[in-house]
Amino acid sequence: MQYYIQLGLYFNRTVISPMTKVAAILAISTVMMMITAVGNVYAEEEVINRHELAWGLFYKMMTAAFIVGAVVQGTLVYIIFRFRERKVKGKSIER
Amino acid sequence: MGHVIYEWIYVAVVVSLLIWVGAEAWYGEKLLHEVPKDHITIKVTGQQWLWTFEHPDGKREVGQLTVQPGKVYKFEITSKDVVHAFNIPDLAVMIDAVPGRINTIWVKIPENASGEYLIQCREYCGLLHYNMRAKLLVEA
Amino acid sequence: MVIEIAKPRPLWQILFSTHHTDVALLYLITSIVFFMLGGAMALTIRTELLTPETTLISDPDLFNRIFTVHGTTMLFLWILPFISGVGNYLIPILVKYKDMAYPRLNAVAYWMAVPGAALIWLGWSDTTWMAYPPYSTMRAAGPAADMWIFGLKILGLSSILGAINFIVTILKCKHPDLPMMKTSLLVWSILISSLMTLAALPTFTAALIMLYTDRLGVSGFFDPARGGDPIAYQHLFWFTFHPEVYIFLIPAVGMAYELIPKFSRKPIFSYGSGVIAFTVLSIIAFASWAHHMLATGLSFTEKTVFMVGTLAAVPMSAMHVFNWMATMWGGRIKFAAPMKFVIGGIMLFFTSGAGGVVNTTLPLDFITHDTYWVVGHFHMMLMGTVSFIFMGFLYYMFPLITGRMYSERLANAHFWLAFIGTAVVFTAMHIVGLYGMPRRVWDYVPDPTIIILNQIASVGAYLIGAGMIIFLIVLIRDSIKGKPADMKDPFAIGEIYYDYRRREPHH
Repeated sequence: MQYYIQLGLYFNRTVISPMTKVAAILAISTVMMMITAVGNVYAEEEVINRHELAWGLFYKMMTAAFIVGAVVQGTLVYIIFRFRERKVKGKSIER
Repeated sequence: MGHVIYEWIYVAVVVSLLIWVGAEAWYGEKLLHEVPKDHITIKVTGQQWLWTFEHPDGKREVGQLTVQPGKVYKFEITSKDVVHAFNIPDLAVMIDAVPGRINTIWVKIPENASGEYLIQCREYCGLLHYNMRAKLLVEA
Repeated sequence: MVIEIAKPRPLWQILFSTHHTDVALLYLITSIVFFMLGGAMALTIRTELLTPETTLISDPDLFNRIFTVHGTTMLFLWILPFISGVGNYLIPILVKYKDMAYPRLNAVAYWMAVPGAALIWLGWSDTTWMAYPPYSTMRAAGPAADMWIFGLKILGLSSILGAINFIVTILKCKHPDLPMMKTSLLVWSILISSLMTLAALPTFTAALIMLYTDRLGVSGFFDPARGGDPIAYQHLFWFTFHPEVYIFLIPAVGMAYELIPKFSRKPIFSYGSGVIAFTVLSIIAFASWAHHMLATGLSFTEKTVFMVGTLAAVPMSAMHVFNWMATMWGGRIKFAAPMKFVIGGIMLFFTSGAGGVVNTTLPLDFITHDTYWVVGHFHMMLMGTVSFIFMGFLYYMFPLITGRMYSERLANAHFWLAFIGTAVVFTAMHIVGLYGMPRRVWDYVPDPTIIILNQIASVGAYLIGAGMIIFLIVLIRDSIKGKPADMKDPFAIGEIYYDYRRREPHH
């Protein structure tokens, strides 16, 4: 945990391009997820119920999809209402 | 290409989400991939438009399969004519029956299962594809 | 011809013309006719599925033939000709050239599509549009299946000729003062999808020959008894048809890029990221074909590779959605029919995209593969996104084609019926798939939930049907006696419209 905090400070103090930051965050998250997944594979022993596994995963995916969907569709609906012609009439848009 | 940084952050978020999805899926598939050691092998043959099952002791069943709750079954699936797909919707069992190939899939029948479950064909196989069904009988 | 108001010409002059607007008009009319025919077949299918057992069609064989022709028609006789039609109209205008690079080849490509369509429609094959062997080689009834093979062969050749023509027009005939990075993104999208056609289609063309010799019994490429493998066909088929999905989608995305900035009265947020997303997607599209075959007994490694390939294509689509929303942000959006259809398309695009991610998540394939979930998923893409943007674009091009304006009120009714109908029918299909209902079935298990979901889906389909009738009325009535459009700026959005004088042929 300490290490991550230090890493965060390092990010804030040093002048790094935002692209590098994004790439670094991505790489770190990838490695962390891989470690968890690989560790779990070799920890498991008992016979699993494929129905429960598949549907558990399905509900997890659906939860994620509906959250992301709410954000995306919500933004879209907001844009439609906020920037419709009648509402922003007269505003000149420089090109 | 103005204001590009917002877009890259957004792409990074999408990519992280996808990595999470991929890792979850890979992990789940890995768990399902390895067949448990104690299993009973059942040979499944699809043909237009019925299923035939052969138990390890040589007993054959047509149109129905009798299994016991709590045991692990491995299905060795093939087809006599065209491509079918062996599917038990209630147990999330699904794999194609391809002529000339043997596909395997395993399932543990839940302890509390009993009665009749649906077995159906899920790959289009001709005139009576809709009716290519069989029964899975779970009897202790 | 009624739609030429300035100088009406006899029909034969249009039929035998090689001018790009005439060929484009033929393409568009053909595609709309087949869209309506395919839609009528879809309504027949939905009516049959109102109840288990017989509702409308007493013969399962007829049902199998109907869904085969429905699929083939919608993909190859609606979407592809429509892309060619729009491309023919606009590519020469957008790259500032007098015509397509090879006008005669252009006409030949169109006239090849006609016998192809005739073979498919006279044959009525029952192979499904994928024609998996050994069913298609050993059991499917001839001559229908043979006619289907030859029909697709001709259509494939026509697509390749059209693609070559577009590539040469864009790369070689573009006005020297117009750099590639200043052209419309529609030009980019047609270029990219044409290049993908050239790379993808030959594989399927070869597979069709193999399928046909297998049917004749002179070879056994896909017959295990003669050392072949049925799965080989599926690899060849999906190597073409997964990229083909993007060949359908990318031009629709390009059309959305053409419409959104104009109706938002704002420049595109990031032109560069649009180009990047198109280009990267065209390469990644070739790395995911086997996700259609996850249930055929692939090894664990193969499954993982193709899952990663599939997920890799998602960020590109996400970039387009971001680009569209960022373009609309801060604009002054005019909701004419074209913009409504595009926004409806974006909303449904998210749904189908998220569904696609779920499909490729490996263990979920046991639940969704070959069920109505998949049917709902790809219809959400092809009807909900691609066809929606196409219909919107057709409304946008209506003044260019006819010189008249369509009725905004009827177009609005069309949009709402189609949008609500599409959302209802394909959402219901997703859910019924989770209950395990297989696709391509004439009859289903008489479970009360499955019955009620099927009936909801059918009601949605009837809504779309009503919308399409209005669409047809608008197209026919307003092209005959709609109000003459203001050709400088027909939508009153303060943007430059396409040069309508193009419609008067130069020869």
